[in-house]
Amino acid sequence: MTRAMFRKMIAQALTLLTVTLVVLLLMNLITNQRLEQEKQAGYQETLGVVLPAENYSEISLDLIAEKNPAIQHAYTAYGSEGIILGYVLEVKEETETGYILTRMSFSADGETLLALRVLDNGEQNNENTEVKTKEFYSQFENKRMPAALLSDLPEQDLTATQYPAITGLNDGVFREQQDNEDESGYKDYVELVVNGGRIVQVTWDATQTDGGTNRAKASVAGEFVLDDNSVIWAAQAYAMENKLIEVQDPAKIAIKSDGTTEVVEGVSVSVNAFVTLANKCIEDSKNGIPAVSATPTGAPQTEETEISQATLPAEETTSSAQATPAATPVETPAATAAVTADAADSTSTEAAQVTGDSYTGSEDGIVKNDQGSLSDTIDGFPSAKIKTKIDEAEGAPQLSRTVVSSVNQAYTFLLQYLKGES
Amino acid sequence: MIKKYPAPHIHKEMNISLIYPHVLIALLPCAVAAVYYYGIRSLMLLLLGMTSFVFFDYLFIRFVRRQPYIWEASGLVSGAVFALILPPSVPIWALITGVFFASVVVKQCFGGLGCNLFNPALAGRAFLSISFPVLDSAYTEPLLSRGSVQSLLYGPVDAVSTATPWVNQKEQVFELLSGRYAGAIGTTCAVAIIIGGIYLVRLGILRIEAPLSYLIVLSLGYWLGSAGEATLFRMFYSLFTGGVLFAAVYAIGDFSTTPSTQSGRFLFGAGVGILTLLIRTFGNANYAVGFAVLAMNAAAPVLDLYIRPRIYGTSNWYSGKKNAADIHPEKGEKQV
Repeated sequence: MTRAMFRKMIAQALTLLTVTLVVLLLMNLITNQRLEQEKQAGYQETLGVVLPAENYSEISLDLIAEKNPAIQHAYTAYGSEGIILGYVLEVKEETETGYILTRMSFSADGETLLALRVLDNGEQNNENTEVKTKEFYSQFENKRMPAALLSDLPEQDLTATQYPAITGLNDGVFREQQDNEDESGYKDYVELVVNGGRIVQVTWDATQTDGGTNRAKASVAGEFVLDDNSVIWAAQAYAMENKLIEVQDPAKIAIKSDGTTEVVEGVSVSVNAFVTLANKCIEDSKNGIPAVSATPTGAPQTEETEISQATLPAEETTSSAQATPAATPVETPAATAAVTADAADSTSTEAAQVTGDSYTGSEDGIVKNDQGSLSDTIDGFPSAKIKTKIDEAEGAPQLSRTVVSSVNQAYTFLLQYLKGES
Repeated sequence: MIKKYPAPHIHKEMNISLIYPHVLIALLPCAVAAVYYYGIRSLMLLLLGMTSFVFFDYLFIRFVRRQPYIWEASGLVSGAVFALILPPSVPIWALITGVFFASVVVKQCFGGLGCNLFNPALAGRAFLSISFPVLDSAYTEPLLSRGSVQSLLYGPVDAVSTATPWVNQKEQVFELLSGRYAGAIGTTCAVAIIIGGIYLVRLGILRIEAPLSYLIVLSLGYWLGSAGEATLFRMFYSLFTGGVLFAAVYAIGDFSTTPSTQSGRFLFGAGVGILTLLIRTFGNANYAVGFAVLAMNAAAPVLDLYIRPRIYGTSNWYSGKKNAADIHPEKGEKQV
C-alpha cells in the first residue's frame, strides 16, 4: 500500500465517519420529541398512580448506586408550570425468600410519603398478598417519615416515656431574660412553671426593647420572618417548650456547634438562648428565687393564645406549652409529654456545658440517656425521630418490615439527594 | 523490448492487503452507531474483539502451525464484525471465548485466511448463542449509561428481554432507520449499514448478487406469509431488523465463505433467505440470520462444484464436464 493509497483511505474513512454522524444526529433529533412524549405517557400511566404530574424526569443513579443499592429508579415529578410536585422512587428490597419491589411518592420537601404501592415480589409463599392490600399500604399515605412497625418500637418509647425530673426543684414560677437584645432588637426570656418538682409549663418568647410586639406574636402576624422560610418562630418555640416539658432537663436537648438542634423536629432556629435561660430558671428554682416580674399566665398569655389558636396547627394551640397527657398526636410522638407529678429518679444538669451564653452538646444533636429511647434506631433513625407507626400486615410481619425498610431507605436517599450529598 | 511473463496478465489494484482495510472502513459507520448508542462499552468491546482476534491468529500461526506471521487485516475485520453482532451487555469473558472459537477453531484450524469454510464471526456468535443462551437476553435500550465507567465491566443496567421489542408502527420509521432500539450493538442502524454497503459496492468488494437475492427472497417470503396483511413498512421492518441487513452487507458478501460464481452467489443468497424464513417461522428466531448464513456456508463448496463458469463455446452453463467430452470425443466419453 502506497502512501497515497493510505491517505486516500483515511480521507474515505473520515468522510464515512462524518456522513454517519450527521445522519445519526439528524435522525435522533427528529425522533427525540416523539419518544419523549411516548415516555411521558408511559410514566403518567405507571408513576401517576402514586403521584400524578405533568411530566417526570428520571434522576441519574449512576453515581449513587453503590450507596443506595435498593433504589432502582427515582423520578422528579413536575407540575404544569415546572414546579416540583414531589418525587417517585422504586425500591427493590431483598428478603430471605425473594424480594419486594415498591413504588412510592414523596412530597417536594422529601418529608412526607404521599402514596405507596407494592408492585411485585419474588416471594414463594402467599403471605406477600397481605402487604399488597390497601388496608396495609394506606397506612403510609400522607404520613411524615421515617416510619417503623409498631411492634419494632421499644415499649417505653414514644407514648410511655416519662423522663425523670431534676432533683431539688422548688415549685413556683421562674423567669429569666437576656441582658442584651439581639440584632433584631429582641431580648429572649424563658419562664418555667414548676409544680410538684416537675416542669409543667414553659414559655419562650422575646420582648422588643422599644416596647413593640413580642417575637411570637410578630412571627404569627408575619412581621418576624425567618430567613430560611421554615416553620414560623412561634411554632418552633412551642416545639422547644414541649420538648423541655417532655425531657425535663435542658441537658437532654443537645445543641450543635451552630446553636441548632436535631433533637426537636421542625426547629431550625438557634436554641442557645432558650437552653441557657432554661438552665438559669432551673438554678433559680433550686435556689428558691422566684420570678421578680414573672409574666402572669393571665392577660398577655391570653392574647398570645388567641393568636396561636388562629394560626398554628391544631396541636399547637398555646404558645406556652403545658404538660398535657392528652396532647399525643401519633405523628409527632416527640411532642408527647406524658408527665405526671410523681417524678422518677432525678438527673442532674451536669451534662450541660454552659459557657456564657453558648451551649454545646454532642455534635450529632442526639443525647443518649439511660432509658435509651433517644438512641435506639430503626433503619438508622433514632426511635425518637420515628414519626409514623405502622401496624404490620396480618400474618406477614417480616414482609411488612421489609416494606417499612424500603420506605425508610427511599426517605434516606431522598434526603441525601435533596441536600446534594448524592 | 517486450518481456514474456506467465499468466495472469490482467492485474487488479484491489488485493488482500487492500480489501480488508477497506472492509474495516466500511464497518466504521456501524462502529460509530454502536458507540453513539451504547457508549464507551461498545468501543471497548470493538477494540477488544479486534485485538484479541489478531492475537489468537498470531498465536496459532506462530506456535501451532509454526509459520511466520504475515500481517493482514482480516483478523481485525472478523473481530470487529464479531463484536458488532454481540449484545451490549455481553460479558468480557464471553467475548474472548467467542473470539477464540472464531479465530482458532473456525478460521485457523481450517487453514487460515481464505480457507475457512464458515464465516468466523458468525460462527463465533453461534457458538456463544448455543453454549450460553442467556446472552441472547443481554440486550439493553440504547442511549443509556453511555459514559458510565461502571458499564465497562458490567454493561448497561437496564436489560430488556429480547432484541427489537418495540411495536412496529409507521411513526417509528426514523427509529427503524437510525437503529434506536434494543439490539446488537452494531446491527441496528440501517443507515450506517447501507452507507457501508454502498462504499463496498462502489469499490467492487461487495458483490451484489448474494445480498440482492437474499433480500428479494425475504421480501417475497414476507408478502407471501402475511396473508393479505402486508404493508411496505412492515416489509422494511422485517428486512432492517434482526441483523438481516448487516448480514447481507458484511457476511453474505464474504469472499472465502461464499461461492465464487455469479450464479452460485445468487443461489447462495436465495438459500440464506429461505433458511432465514424457515428458522424464523419454525425455529429459534433469535439468531435465525446467523444460522442460515452458516448453513449456506457449508453448502458453498457444493454450489461451486456444480455451478461452474460456462466454458466459452459450449452451451451447458451449469457443468463443464459434459462439455469437455464434446470438445474431446477422442477421450472416449459419450458424445451428446
